Amino acid sequence: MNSTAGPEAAFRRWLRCYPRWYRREHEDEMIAVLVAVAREGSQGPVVAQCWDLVRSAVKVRLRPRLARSQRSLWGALRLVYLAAVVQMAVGVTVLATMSRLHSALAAHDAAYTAAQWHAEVTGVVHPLALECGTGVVALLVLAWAYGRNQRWARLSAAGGLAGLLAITTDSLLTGLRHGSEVNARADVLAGLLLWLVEVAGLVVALHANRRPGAHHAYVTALRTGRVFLSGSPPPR
Amino acid sequence: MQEATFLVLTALAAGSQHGYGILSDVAEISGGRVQMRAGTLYAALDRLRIDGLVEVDREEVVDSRLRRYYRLTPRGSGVLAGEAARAESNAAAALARLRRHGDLAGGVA
Repeated sequence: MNSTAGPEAAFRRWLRCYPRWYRREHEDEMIAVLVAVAREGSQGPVVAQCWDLVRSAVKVRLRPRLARSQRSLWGALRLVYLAAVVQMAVGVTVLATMSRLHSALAAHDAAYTAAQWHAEVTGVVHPLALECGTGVVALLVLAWAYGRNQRWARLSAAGGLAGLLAITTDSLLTGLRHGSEVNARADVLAGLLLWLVEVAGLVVALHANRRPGAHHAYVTALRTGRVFLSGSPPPR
Repeated sequence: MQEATFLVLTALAAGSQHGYGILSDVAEISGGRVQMRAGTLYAALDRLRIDGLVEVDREEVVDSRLRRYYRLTPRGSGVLAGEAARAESNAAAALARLRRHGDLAGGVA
């Protein structure tokens, strides 16, 4: 009986934690290494190896697949993460300023009733907080997609960011139009900050999505005088 | 640069190696202090390949199992050399200061 059959089956099960494309590329060689290490018995029990596989699989799934040299892509990714943090701050601000908003509404209208406030909370404040929570999740998903370093994923992420920017712009304009009737000043300021971060993120994302090296190739061609019109044969 | 990454690059500095060879070499280079596991190794190799510091040298099948050899790219050699020089310079500065204060009496030669 093969003494490595047990560990190998266990390793293959744990390797399912990795994405399919990763397994296709590395499963066989990883199994060879894992079985060799298990046979040697120098690295403790199989369970420790399996735990290491789970940890590494999570890293492979979540870590951005961008080279350190792709600075503009990293810049865009950081801005998307920053937007998620600011979006969360906006949600917290909306909830934290509820009492201030209530006071402002009551001061604005002496006949303001508890029922009206309840309607305001369920109709405006809670949906706004929910929108912020959804925005945080959406931004994290966009950041993940952007970090896959696939052109289609980056373009989809930029499109998603543009959509979120449109929603933020709409909320911000509503806040500015209605002033303290709908939003406390802190809400509007937090919304403005979010809008700025999202604009910056979108600009950097669109800039970074240009074909890698295109600018460098163009500058090199200019320097060497080898600029040619599209459609004409490349210089020999 | 993380120590594990540095050790993987160092293991490949002498020539191409397969996964198990790198693990054994890392343990040897670190005097047994670092016992890298397969999951960590392949995550590090994946990262290094994305950064263009390591590439696949060749593949072979041994005992009906795939064995893939990795090697340093010229960029990887440059990064390792720079990192080693930086570590050497820092270590020399630390030892010189410790010697000046007499804290190394009977310690490091």
